[in-house]
Amino acid sequence: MTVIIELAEVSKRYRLSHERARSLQEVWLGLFKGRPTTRVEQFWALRDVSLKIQAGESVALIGPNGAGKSTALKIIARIIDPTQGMVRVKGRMSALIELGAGFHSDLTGRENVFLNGSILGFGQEEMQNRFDEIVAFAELEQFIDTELKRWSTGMVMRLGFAIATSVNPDILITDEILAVGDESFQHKCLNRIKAFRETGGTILFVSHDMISVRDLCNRSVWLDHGEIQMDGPTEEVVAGYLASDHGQPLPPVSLATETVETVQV
Amino acid sequence: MIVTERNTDVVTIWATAEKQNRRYPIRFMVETARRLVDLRHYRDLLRNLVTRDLKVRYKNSIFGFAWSLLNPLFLMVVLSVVFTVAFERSTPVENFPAFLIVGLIAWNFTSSSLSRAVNSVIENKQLVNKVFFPREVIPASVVLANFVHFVLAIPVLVVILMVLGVMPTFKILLLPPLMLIHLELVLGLALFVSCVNVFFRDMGVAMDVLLQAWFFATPIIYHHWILPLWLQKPVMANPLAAIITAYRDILLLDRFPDRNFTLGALVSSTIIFAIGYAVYARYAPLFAEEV
Repeated sequence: MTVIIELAEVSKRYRLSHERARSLQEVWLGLFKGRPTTRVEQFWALRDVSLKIQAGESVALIGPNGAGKSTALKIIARIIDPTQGMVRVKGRMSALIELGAGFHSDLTGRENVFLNGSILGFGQEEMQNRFDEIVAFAELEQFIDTELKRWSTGMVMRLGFAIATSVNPDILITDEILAVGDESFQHKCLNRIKAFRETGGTILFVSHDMISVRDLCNRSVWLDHGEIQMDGPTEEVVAGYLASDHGQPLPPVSLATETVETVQV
Repeated sequence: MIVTERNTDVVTIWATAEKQNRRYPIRFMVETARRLVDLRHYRDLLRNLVTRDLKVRYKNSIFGFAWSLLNPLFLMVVLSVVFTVAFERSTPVENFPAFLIVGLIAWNFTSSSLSRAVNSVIENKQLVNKVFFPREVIPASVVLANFVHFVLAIPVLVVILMVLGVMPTFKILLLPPLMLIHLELVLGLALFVSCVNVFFRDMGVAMDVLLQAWFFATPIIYHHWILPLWLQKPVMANPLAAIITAYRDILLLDRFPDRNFTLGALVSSTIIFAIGYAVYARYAPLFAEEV
């Protein structure tokens, strides 16, 4: 077993944005006043988080809103830099943080597949090889040469999901976006993620839905106030979380029915 | 995420080390240069973004690509009329329309690149916030899309010049290297202004004024000869002035560009590019938090 994701004492500090001097005018005035016009308020979204994930593990990040789950995910996905600490990721990641990032509504589905693929870091040739499979999975053969602005939101999401999961990554990072398309397509997505897990892929999953966490992940990490509260087998961690103040006594009924997806195209 | 290898590539982010690097300029420069070389893995992305830009811009327009020529042509006609009819005595050079169109097409590339690049990072916040990729491809793709227009405009320019009675000669072969210097200059500036605009939105607002000032400070609608002697040197220190004068030397006067001006333009464009890229590389990791 090899460590595929490693976080060593990772901390992330945010400066609260409304406190930040945003225009030259404010900076300029600040020079004359001799002290900063705005007091910078700091907020630690993550504090000394250390985590090792082995290849083939499927790990859930759980915790209340504002616990630092999304920040951790974004740091691992390299979207933001940690303030302190080190992150090491081995292999290719595909992040389902935003489906269809960079989709353009004036381009056809086909053009968007290649554009989105290259944004995720996959070359022209690679996308060419997977093109038919992507379109078949998304069930969009009929519309693939139509401009995206004529598609329904669900169709756009389906294409985004198909691309992100078809590129055969080593690590799949998802932020609560299994609610793609209708009932049967959601089922298909879940099956695909499970199949990915079975073939040895590593999954990092952020969710508030304890049912899909239990269903999908064998290990869970409970984050609160930017610190790890508990790390271990899903059953124990979820039980601990639900028993705490933050945990909801009744988990949501079905898989991610509450998630409202927005996609900007 | 390195594309070519699989399972072997190790991506390491070491925030604290990166910050220490900034205290050692040499190491920072080496890191930045390596970053530039690593960009080759993202050439597909760059190409796709450029094609997206080109396709989308003219998707529903009738004149399409012609628009990028209509603007300089219109200005050429207006300025020719104004200077040859209204201020007849001050007509500075022979074949004034030909003189104008060369400078205006070159200027059009510069100004349209910069005025679109300055907002490019902010406009792509959805991407910056959600996906990792080298952020420099965003302004670079805007500039390259405009450069494609510039290149496509050259044959049209040659035809216009022939209509105006100027026959280009073999010296036109000097055009590509000059255009690359021009591209380097615009890329460096685009990286710088798009980065500054993320942190200070004033940049986007100031861009119009700055471009206008630069337009008049550059010998585009006048010749630097008409300036007083003491002013000629500082004006020609502007790399764009040297580049546009060189374009005219090649296309209109059938002579080699002034060596000192051209070398000066190459050196200052390279310095501007290096500074622009270093600033961009230094602050790009903060974009996702700021946009």
